[in-house]
Amino acid sequence: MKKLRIYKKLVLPGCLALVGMLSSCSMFDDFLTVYPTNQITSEQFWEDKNDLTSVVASCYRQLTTDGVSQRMFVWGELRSDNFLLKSESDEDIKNIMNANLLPTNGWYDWSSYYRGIGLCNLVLSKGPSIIGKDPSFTQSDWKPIAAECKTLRALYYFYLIRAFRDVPFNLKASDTSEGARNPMPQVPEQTTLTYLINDLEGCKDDGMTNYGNDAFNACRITKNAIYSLLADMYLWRAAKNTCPDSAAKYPGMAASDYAKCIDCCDYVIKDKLYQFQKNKKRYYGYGDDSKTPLPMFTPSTMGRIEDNEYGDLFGSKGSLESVFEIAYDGSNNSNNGLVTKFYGGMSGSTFKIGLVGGSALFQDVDGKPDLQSHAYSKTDLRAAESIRYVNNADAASNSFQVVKYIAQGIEVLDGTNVLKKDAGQPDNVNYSNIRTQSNMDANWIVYRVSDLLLMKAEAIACLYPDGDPKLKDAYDLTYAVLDRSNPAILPTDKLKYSSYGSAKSILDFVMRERQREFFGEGKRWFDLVRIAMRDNTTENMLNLLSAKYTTNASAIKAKLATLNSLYSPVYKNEMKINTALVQNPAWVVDETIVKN
Amino acid sequence: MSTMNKIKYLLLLILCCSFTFTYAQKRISGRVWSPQDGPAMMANVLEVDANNRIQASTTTDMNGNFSMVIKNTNDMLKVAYIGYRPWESKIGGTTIFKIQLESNVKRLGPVTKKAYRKVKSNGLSIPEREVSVATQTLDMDEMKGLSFESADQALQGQIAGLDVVANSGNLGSGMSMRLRGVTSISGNQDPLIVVDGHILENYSKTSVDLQDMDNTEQFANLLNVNVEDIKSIEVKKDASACAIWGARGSNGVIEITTRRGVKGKTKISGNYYFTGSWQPSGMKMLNGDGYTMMLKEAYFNPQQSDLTSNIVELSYKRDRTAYYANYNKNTDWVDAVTQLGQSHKYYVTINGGGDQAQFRISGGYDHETGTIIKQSLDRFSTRMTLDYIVSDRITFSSNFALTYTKNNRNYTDILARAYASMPNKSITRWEYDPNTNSYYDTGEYFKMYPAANGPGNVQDGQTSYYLRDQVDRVQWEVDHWVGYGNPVAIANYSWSKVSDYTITPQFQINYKLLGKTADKTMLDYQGEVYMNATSSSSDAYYPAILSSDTWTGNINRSGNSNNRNLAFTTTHYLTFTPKLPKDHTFMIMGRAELNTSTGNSQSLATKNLVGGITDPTVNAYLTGASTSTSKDHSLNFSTSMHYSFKSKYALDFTLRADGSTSFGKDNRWGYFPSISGRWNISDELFFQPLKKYVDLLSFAPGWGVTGNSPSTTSIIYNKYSNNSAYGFNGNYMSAISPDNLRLTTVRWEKTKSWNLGFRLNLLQDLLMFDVNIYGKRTSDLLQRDVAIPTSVGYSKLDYDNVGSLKNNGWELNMSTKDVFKTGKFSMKFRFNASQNHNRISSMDASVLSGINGDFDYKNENYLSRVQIGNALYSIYGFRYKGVYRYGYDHSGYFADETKNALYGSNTAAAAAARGENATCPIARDANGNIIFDADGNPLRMYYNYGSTNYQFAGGDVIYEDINHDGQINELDIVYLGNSNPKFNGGFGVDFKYGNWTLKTSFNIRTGAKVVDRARMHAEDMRSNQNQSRAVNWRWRKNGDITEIPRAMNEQAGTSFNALASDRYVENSDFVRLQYLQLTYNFNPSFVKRWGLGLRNLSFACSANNLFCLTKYKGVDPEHAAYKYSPAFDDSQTPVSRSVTFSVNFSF
Repeated sequence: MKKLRIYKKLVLPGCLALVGMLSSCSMFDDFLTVYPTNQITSEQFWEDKNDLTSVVASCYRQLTTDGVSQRMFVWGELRSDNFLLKSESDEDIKNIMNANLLPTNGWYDWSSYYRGIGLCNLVLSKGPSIIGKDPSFTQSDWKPIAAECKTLRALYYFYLIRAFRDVPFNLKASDTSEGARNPMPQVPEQTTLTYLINDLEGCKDDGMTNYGNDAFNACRITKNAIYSLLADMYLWRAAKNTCPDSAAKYPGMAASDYAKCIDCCDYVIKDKLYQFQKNKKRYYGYGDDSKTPLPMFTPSTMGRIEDNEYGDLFGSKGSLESVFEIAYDGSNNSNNGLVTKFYGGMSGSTFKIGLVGGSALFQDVDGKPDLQSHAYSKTDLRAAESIRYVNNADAASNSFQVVKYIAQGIEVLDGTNVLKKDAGQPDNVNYSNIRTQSNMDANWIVYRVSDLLLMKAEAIACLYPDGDPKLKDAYDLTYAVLDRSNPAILPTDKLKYSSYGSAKSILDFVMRERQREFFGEGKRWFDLVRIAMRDNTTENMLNLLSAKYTTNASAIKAKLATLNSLYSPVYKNEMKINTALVQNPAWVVDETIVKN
Repeated sequence: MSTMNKIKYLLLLILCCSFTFTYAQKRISGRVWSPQDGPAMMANVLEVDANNRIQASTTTDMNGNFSMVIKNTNDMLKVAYIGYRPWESKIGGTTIFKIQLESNVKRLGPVTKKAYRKVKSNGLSIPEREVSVATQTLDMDEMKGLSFESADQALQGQIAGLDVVANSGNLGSGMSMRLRGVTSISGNQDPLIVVDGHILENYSKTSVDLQDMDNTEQFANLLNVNVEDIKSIEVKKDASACAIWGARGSNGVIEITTRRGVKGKTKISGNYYFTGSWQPSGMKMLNGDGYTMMLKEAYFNPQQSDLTSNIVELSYKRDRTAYYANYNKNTDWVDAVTQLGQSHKYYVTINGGGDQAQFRISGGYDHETGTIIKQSLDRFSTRMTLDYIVSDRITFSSNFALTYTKNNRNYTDILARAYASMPNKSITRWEYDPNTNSYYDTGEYFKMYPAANGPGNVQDGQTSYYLRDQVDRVQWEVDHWVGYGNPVAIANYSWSKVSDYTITPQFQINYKLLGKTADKTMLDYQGEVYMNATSSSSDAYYPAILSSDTWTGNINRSGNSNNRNLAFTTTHYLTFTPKLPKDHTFMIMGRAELNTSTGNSQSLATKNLVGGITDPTVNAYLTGASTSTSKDHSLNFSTSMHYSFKSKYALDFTLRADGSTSFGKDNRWGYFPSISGRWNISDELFFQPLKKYVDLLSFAPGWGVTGNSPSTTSIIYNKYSNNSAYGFNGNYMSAISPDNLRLTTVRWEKTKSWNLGFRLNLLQDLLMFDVNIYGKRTSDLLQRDVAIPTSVGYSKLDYDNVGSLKNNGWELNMSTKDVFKTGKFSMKFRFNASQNHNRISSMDASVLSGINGDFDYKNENYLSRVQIGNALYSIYGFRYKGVYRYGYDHSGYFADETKNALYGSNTAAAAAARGENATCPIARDANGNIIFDADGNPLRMYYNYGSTNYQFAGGDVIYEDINHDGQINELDIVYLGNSNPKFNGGFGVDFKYGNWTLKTSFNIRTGAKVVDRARMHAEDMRSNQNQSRAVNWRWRKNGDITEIPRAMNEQAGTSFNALASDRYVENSDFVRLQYLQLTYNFNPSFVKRWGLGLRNLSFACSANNLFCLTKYKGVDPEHAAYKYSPAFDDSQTPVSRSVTFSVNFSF
């Protein structure tokens, strides 16, 4: 009887325990699965096409961050002969300008680029799984998105390669901590570049041709953008493989790369030309029909010169002449930190200068085009597009400001002397709608038609030997770019093909034209590196750089004597964590300098 | 099914099972009386069943008669009447009872029953002499009459192995506690605080700022438990004691037990405390005149130019009437912002109960004002406990506590500003009256004019450019302020208020399923439900009146943040105690606990509010707004077993399984076992001969594992956030991006530790010793934000396991019973001592290099560094070797003799010949020989040659050139000690004479190094901050022998006289008189004679922190260290000295 009572008493706890044990395994797991309450997790994400495109948007947005965009300038142009330092407020920028490249310099932190690469990798890995989940999303919808992300990834990597040469190469989308701390060694430039080129070759025809509006056609990756990037990469690889060592290793590769570069450029030029012709009415002028038509705007030459091409490309943005540009809207989403920091902009009612200003090459003009003492001739509108010369009493500190991207419209009163500096005269150049620093909505142009023209010219000049009639094409293309910016040139000052006898002289002309055309667009340093790679020495390049280094020149020349010195040091903080990285030998710092 | 529903269902079941029904009814009647007092009026007459559960009850009338319907004739009839022994008898067939009560005044004969005091250990109630784990208990009755803000203050210096350091002397700022060293480098390093079996979570702390949980100005969580409500505090030290807390117990556990009702007549008692507190005197600062002289010199020295001639604030020019009278004072700012703090505490309890129910209700109200002006703390707390004994089997208990705290703080650290402010500046504004050619005090606070944009003479209404750091400018973040402003005005006009409500209801049921007493096999169930509802809000306001910013600038700022949290915990215990043959005891307990918590917080900050409005929700310029919600679950199971044989050998085993939401499925459960044993050697036969002197000698070894998990949840998911949009001209694609890498590899941080405990009681427990030796090894140290190769696409992991740590140490605790008894006099001693040695034994190289930044070659920056083999909190810097007596040109070692002769005998060479101090900045090799250049001139000492290239000069600080390379650079940085105490302890002596008691308690802490940054700022003469009077001994000219370098203002030129060096690293050894208390207890019989119903009355007078013996040069040697960084003295408000008077009475 007593036993039974005990038994009865134990029934309830016993049952509870039993139920508890049975349900425990799955129930406890459910109980301990707590999703964050104020964020979406990957388990709930990646459901449809919208999820996919919003991460694609992040791949683009990463380009607009200061971490990426400012480095496009620092790695691509800061060290070149285009600029002098205007403000010493940024010690690290000052060091780079003085050819004092320290591994501790934060500008060599490449994390923002890999963040962008990681986002592209993520889209590429998750995309195929959406095809099954979202019935409205098919393989043919996926292909252009995949091409878009592959191109963006290649663009990120192409900047890294040009700045650092050998970099870690990661194509894996990481989403867990598994192996995240493993060291990741550098991969030779050739390997990375070849992979990226093949990757883009595989998807170049998947690219979108029309997103339905001018803005997206300019600021998202189109088929033209893929071809442009390919052309640029071919040009780079060809220059790299010109030196005897590489040429022996990869025989014939340089020549075939130049040819492919030309093909890619042709594709874009042809397509742009077609669009220009199609929209002939919409776009009033695109060159002189009497010459070989080229898809470019020309300035109006009725009295005062309205610089249409500038206004279209840099002012109203999303121009037909542009191939790919990084979008900023200055208010809702993003401010162009690159332009604000390095060039300046309006602040209140004053024009604030950024960290850099034009170097001696840009501080005056020559009488005729393509003389080498200065970049521009007196009739070259691009003198006014690049540098703002302030013609007043205390101009010394304010003159030679970079104005590209900041002004939205340029009008020149007297095209025969663009930088007229007569005291007491009103300014010869009118800048309209100067962008403010707090509302810097200038799109950053990565590729535009003139770049394609000049890439093609460069490839031709490198590919064909002296005397080859093909060289004339290179000259013509380059001349066309020069000519459209010199509307008021006197016929006697016009250049003649006969004065450019050799392939070398044409190539030099092309490179000088590139400098004139792309001042302030983050390209000049990479141009100089290509020159040095083709020369297999930095000597000629250093002669060009001499405009910049007026003091301490011999020490700097000694520092930059090797080709390695053209590439940046690997950031020290990164090396501490990624132990597999090897420092660029040109910038290995002796940690124990002993004075005696 | 939601968790809440499950729990409700469970509770319902439990409640149902406690009701059973019986139906037999019968009426009985009777009379209750006593021979002494006649009929017993209003006596309780109860029918109780076999389980002592009341079935029916009534009370007697004026004649002692009663009548009632009973339910079961097998039940017992009980009569209870105050002053009489309870009467009981079986009802049976009797219907009329004649009950005679006996007075309980009658004494019983002596009964001896051997019983040991039982304590709770690992959830089991076991005899104290079988406890095999290391704990120490503080009985709060011993602390009666002392005034503590919170329990941690009471613990200071009392517990061997517990290092308690005040965060600051500001009201409500709390203490930092470290038990047996530090075992964790991420998250909280304080021990776990448990109140009545439930973790006192600090929700306001964790939800406010996850990155900086140890911020000193956080809400002190322990304020939620009124010290008066605490019965005892048990500190659980070793792994075996903490294993039951598993993943939460690795920092040690402090278990607070609150008071409950006691059976007996209802008793009302009250306490009143008055405390007056003041600050110990700090650094002696320069007055206005000395400051002006120093600053002029500091501006002159770097360039030998008269930069200061343009600083009108230092010129005392009578014609500059806007400045003259406002900058000609000798203001003692520290004195102006400090005051006598006062505190009043009122506390009342009602307590009582009978056999069936006991209750205790307490209410307390504190009002305190700080030692810094405008600080105050108000607290209201109440706690109600009720124990209702339904029957011998079933007991219901509840504990309901509510605390409301309101803390009015200063907007910023006022004291640090007071130390930095210009002493020649006036507190109030003086206006020039041209008619009388005199100045009058306007009574308004003086606000410095906006700073000029550049150097040069300034117009009226501007502050000199160089003094711009003295102008009022405060950033929103309290810790990154610039500009010292007028500290008195800031204290008066700006504020920061924090208020916090906490409600913690707790319900508990105990059910004895089998036997009711220990002589039978027992199976006891205990179920608990506990809730913690917290709501806290903080507001801050900084008005334009304090700022010289423009109207569109950053003025009239206001901020508000709120957070709420609700946590629900239910715990179930099942304890089985089988009846075993004599001498054997065995107990096993199983415990399951489930916890859910939800929280939400929001914050809002605005600026440019319309004058007078302080509410940030009105329409103004929004500078920040955020909201967040959180949710967390946890689940754990544990079991503990206890076996003992003859109470001589005892063995304990504990295992806890912790389920956490912070880990992925594979690592979700952490298992924490522990095993410990005890051998009471003194019980052995062979010990008999010594038994006369030795009452107890025991040895208790133990081993166990405790752990730690990441304190943030949802790190195991890839989280996606809105990333604005991409596009332009109205065409946009919205962007979303992932924030983090999902953690799949992170593991539990585990600390394995062993402990050897020895206890020795001598001479009838007159002397009691408790010694513990321990070792702890923490592996898989969790580190927050671990940097990874950025080529992965992310720059960090939220958490990872990165290394290991070691702690070794010993503790001694000694106490005595009353000794030296002579007549009415007796005394008691207490003493405790401990040492802990902490060492980082391994850490991933990439993590190390990620943590250890490069030296930035700037003044005043100490390297934050972790080095394997050294302790956490280590300090690294240069070695300070005095001040160069001579400059380079006064060296006297030049090749050119005429150059040497220029300064006659006032050269280093001449001084060396005389055998005097001949320091001058020339490079010397390892043998002390001068290094000469090719021309035969001595090489000059450089700072960071090749980069900074600073040439040391006469009057500059000498840093030791460790590697003798002729320059001072990062290779000369050495280890300078650490902020862990080497020895920690306390002692006290209590004297008793009749009704008088005198208690003393001292705290000793030695070996901890503190970086005295307050002194650095007050002696380096680099800024415009006011300096300590020590700078009067500064180097002025070649030949001066001094320890204080020349004045070099950083705005006028470069100097490196305040590099991180051991000049500012000080020993913080101290002996502090924790408290001294004198109490007088009135004789109860004496008090009773007053006829006011008083039962007890006592008066006490105590002094806290009356003196502190230390060589430390700052105000107070007590400073806490956090994470990796050592302890810094940033002139936080020091712990105040105070005197308390208290009255304690009961009815």
